[in-house]
Formats: sequence, structure tokens, C-alpha cells
Amino acid sequence: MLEVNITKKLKAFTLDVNFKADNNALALLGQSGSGKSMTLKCIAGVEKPDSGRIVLDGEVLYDSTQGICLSPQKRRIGLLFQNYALFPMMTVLQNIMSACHQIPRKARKAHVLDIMKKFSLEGFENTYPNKLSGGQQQRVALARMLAANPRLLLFDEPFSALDTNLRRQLSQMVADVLEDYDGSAIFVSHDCAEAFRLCPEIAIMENGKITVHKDRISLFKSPETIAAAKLIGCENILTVRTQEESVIVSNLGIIINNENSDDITAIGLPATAIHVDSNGEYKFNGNIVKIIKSPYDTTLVINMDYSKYDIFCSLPNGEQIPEINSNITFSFDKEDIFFLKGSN
Amino acid sequence: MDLFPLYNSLRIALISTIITFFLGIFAAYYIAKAPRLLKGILDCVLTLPMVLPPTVVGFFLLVVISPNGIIGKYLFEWYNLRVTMTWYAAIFSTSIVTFPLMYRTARGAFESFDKNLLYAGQTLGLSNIYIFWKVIMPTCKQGILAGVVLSFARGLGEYGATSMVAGYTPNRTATISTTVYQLWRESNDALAYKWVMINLFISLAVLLAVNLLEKNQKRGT
Repeated sequence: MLEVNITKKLKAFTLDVNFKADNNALALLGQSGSGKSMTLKCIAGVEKPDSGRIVLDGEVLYDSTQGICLSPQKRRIGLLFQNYALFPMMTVLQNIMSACHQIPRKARKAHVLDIMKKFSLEGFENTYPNKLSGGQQQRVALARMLAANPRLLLFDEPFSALDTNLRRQLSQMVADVLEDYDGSAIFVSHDCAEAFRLCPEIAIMENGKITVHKDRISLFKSPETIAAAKLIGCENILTVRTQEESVIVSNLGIIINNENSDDITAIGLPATAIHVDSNGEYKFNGNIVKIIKSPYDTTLVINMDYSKYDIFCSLPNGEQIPEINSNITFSFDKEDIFFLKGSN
Repeated sequence: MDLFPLYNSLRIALISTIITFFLGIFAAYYIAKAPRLLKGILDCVLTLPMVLPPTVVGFFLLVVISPNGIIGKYLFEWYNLRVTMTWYAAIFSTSIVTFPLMYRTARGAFESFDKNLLYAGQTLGLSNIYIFWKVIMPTCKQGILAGVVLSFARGLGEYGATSMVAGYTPNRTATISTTVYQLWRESNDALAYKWVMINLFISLAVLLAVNLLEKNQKRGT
């Protein structure tokens, strides 16, 4: 169990995070520069917050009122970096072995070889990191982190520098690690699909604050804020005005009846929620100005005379695609859209 | 031919290089981490000996260590110790003149060091001393070695400040550079040429070493 409640003044904004993580993996999702990495660094102890409190499994790691701030060495928290951070002048074996100083000298090498086997690194014992591919380097870093026997795992965008294929392989490897691991883990990412695959819980960070924190299924069902909707990949986000019990979407010329619409500032309209017919609850007309084909679906770019924003609608391949430049009626149902708070 | 100047120059340069190695790295390591304003001020002060004329450095040194100087006065009064005009006075002058070379190359190396390596080491439970000697120093090795070689070379050639604090006494304080000057004054061109050739040879060897280090740096890591 990890409890974090810290503030730290940064150049662009003030970091002010407050969350708890049990033994389920938690993803911190946010755009770059939203304070995710700094949060991890403060938990690991390599950066110091201005004030607050961090408690891991009952032990106070940091408490500004009591003047407690354990060194990163004493915290025993593993941190995995995007650029792997392997020691360049040490071989793979030496890199992993450096983390095993708590194991008796005699047993150390056998222990390291065992870990290397687990991460399919056999044969690379005497190789230097610069001779390895990105995927191999990250495997070494992962092995090295686990060799130190950490109480908490922190991942700082560990796959961002890898291409899609390697990314999938490594994310599978991390998923296996997390399954065997019985402590908490925090996974920082800006890729929602990746976060969804690895973490049962997702917290959204915006300008140094956590604005949404819920389990992954309900996050995808109702993202709550504009930032969250963007991060889960909602294609159409339309700002709205509210009036008593109705939400006015002027871009579509539509008024949606909705209770408790006080702090709603936008609606999210997933591209897949738009039907190319008039069977839905709410209808609008538009010109198809562009048709984009991709392996699994086709995206229609819709333009309306009275709106400068394009709307994206996606159809699974195989369905009949309307002609370009045709003016068509589209529709959607209220249950498929998101009502969103927050600002752009 | 009396080889004392060669021996004296080498020992002065060697000892000064060892001193500037530790002081330069210590200063570079802490100043690389300092807040910007402090860094700017300290950087200027510590680099000053590189741009000042060596005679000005020598002048300041005499103000401090000569028998009438700020510290020299007490050394003379209490221990009857006269620091100036001895061979080891040249260590002071040479260390001060070569310090900026070591400090600046080491600082450049530390500043380009990837901080994540430090963080990784700390989270793995490695002590800061271990990280410094086993991770930071090996990673910055080439930059630091280049600084050492340059300091040594500059130390061998030091003339201005050294001639002011150590003077020229044959077999006591004579170095290669002060000997060349003295021989020229005595119109002993034949011997002066020999020392000039020795000097040229050492300088070329040092430059070759620096170039090799730079080449390795490009190829390695």
C-alpha cells in the first residue's frame, strides 16, 4: 500500500498529487510535462518534494512536518527509465550484479545468471550496453531493477523509445513481472492502450494534479474530464454551453437534455458512436470532405457549414461507405457520448 | 648536460597535476550541481587564472606567501619558513595556473553526464561514493583524462608565475622553461636549443595523447 500526498513547485505549475495505490498496478496517464515523471522521482527519493507525506506499507518515507526524508538507497524502490539508464562502462552481468550487493558474494553470480535466464539474456553476460538493441537494453534494466529486490516498482514510460513490435513484447514481459510481483507498481505513460493492458487502475494527470482516478473499465465508459477523454482517444471533443437541464452543442446545432449539467464544459463523441443514418436519438447534417482508409476501419471527415471544426466518424471495413462530398444525415445516441468537465 | 631542470619540471608538473586533479574534480562536481547564480560567480572566479597573465597570478601569490605576505608572514615568524624561492613554491603557482583546465574539462564531462544513471544507482541501493567512482568517473573518464593531460602539459610549460615565486636557482629551482630563458640571456644558444628540443618533444607527445583520447571518445561509449 502506497500513500502519496505531496506538493512541489515546478517551473510551469505546482505539482500537487494525492493518491493511494494498493497492490494493483496503477497507471499515471497524462500528456508530457504534466508532472508524472517528477511524481515518480519524488516517490523514489531522487527528487525532494516541498511538502507533504509519502508512506509505503506503513513506513514513512517522507514527511515534511516531521522532517523525515529517507535517502533513495534506504527506500528500496525500483525505478525503470525510458532511456534504460544502464551503466555504460559495465557489462550486462556487471550491471545486474551491481544491484545484488545485499546477496552474499559467493551466491551472487548464480543469482544473477538465474535472473538473466528469466529475461532471456543468456549469452549477453560480457556484452556492453551500447552493443544491445533498445529492447534488449530495457530487458537488462528490468532484470537489474528486480535483482535489487524492490518493495515498489516504478515505470517511467519504459517503452516510449521502442518500436511497436518490441513494445508489445516488452509490455507482455512487464505484465508477467507484475503478475508475479506482490507489491504495488506505478506505471507512467501517455499511451492509454498500454496503460489499460497493464494496470487495473488509471489516474489522469493534468498540470501537476490528478483529476480522475478510477478503475480502467469505468474510465473508458465515462472519462469525466476533457483531458481524460483525449487520453482515451476520443476523437471528437466539442465545447458546449449549458442552460438549466440542457446541454447546447452549437457546433452540431443540437440540444441534449441532461440532469446535473452544471459544470459540463464539453461533450466527447467517439468516432465509432456516430451512425451514418438517422436512426439515432440526435441528428445532424454534414458534408463528407475526406475519406481516410486504414487496415481495420475507414474514417469519414465531416464538415458542417456552420462550424469550423471537423467531425470524425469511423466505420468498420466492409460497411458501405458513402461518397465523398455528399451531404448526409448522421446520428448518435445519448448513451454513447461522454459529458465532460474541465478545460482544454 | 645537467638534467636537473627536467627532473624539477616533471616533479612540479606531476605534483601539481595530482593536486588539481582532486581539487578540480571536487570543484567541478559540486559546481555542476549548484544553483545558477552561484555557479556563474564561482565559475568566473575559478576560471580567472586561465585568462589572467601568469605574472598577475604570481603577484597575488607573492602577496600571500612571501615572507611579508598575508600568510607567509606567520610562516616566517613562527616556523622561520620561507616558502618563496624554493622548488615547491612552483607547485603553488603551477597548481593555480593549471586548475582551470582541469576544472573546466571535468565540469563539461559532469554536465553532460546523464542524471538518470545517478538516479538508477541510488534506487538500486548503491552508495553515492560507489556511484561516483564506479559509474560517474568511468563514464566521464575521457573528459577527465583529457583535463589531466592538458594540466600536466600546461604545468610543464609554466613560466611567468613560477619565475616570480620560485625564481631561477641552478640545481634548486630551475625548471625547463626558466632554464631556456636563462641560457638565452647568457647567449648559450647550443644548450638552449637542446632544452627547446626536449620541450618540443614533450609537448608533441602530450598533444598526441590528447588527440588519441578524443578519438577514443568518439569511437567508444
